Amino acid sequence: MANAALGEIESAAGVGVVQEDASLQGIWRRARAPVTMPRLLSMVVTDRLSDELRAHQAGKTEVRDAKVRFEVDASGEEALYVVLTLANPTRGQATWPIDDLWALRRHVLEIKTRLERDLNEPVELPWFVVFEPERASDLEDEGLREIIDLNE
Amino acid sequence: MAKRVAIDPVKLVEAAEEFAKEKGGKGRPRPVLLRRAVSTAYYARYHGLTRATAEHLLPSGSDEEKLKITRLFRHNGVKGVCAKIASREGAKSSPYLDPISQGLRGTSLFDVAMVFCDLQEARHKADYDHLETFSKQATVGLVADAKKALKTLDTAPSSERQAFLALLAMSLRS
Repeated sequence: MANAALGEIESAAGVGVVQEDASLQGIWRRARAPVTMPRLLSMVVTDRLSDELRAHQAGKTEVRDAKVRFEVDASGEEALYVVLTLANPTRGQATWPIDDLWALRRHVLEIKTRLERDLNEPVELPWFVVFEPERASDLEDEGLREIIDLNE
Repeated sequence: MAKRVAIDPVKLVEAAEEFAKEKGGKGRPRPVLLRRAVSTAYYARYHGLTRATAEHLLPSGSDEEKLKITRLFRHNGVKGVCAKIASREGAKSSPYLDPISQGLRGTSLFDVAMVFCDLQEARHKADYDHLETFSKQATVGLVADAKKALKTLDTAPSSERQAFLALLAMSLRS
């Protein structure tokens, strides 16, 4: 996956071969301009972080996918979002065991800290952890006129 | 004259739980109420922290004095302290605060600080980001985060609690 990180950096810099990953194309169109130095320096760590978190488990809660994305946070600063897609909660439970979620947050920090040390690349961005279900339950459409298909 | 009723973090969590489990006509969760649940869960956590810090600063003060102190806090100030405790700030360091915040590493209050950072960010998206999506599962998880964080602060060992609240009190400096 280090090659993927290199490709990402090359793409951001407008050199090298752009990765043919369809899921990234929309992001690249929007994100090419605002790539910052802290973000570039974080990419190797974040790439490895996603890899290590996939198939992770805390208690009964399994991580099915892990992504790291860069976005502006509530204070207007660029930040790193570790998005963990979790196997859906046990049938009859509205959410995952809360102790598992707290353990997962700690695991993210532990792995991130180790990668920063091993790669000698401290991540200089604030960061957050977001949990998502593998299959979100259907929601009411509320009769709204403004329903936006985010999969377009 | 209407009674003055203080903002009770526990009641806010109860309200957040009700928002999250509410269903619409088709028996599905309502996006507008999932957003309200996230926002309310955050405010439960925020008021829980500021009221505990006011109590820490003025233990012999009247209820009214303590409630007035809570108005001095700022959301960014509380977040800054929690980010420092939870190592959420990237590589920034402070020679004055690091020894105290590092002493909380591995404690249950370290988790409380992490939860605050994630909840505040989610609250901001719930209230302002039209394109953000909130699943029922993740929303109920955030409400449960807030509920557990309230309880954890209340039951933390005294020395850890004092250190945590002292750091939060320092957020008033700016």
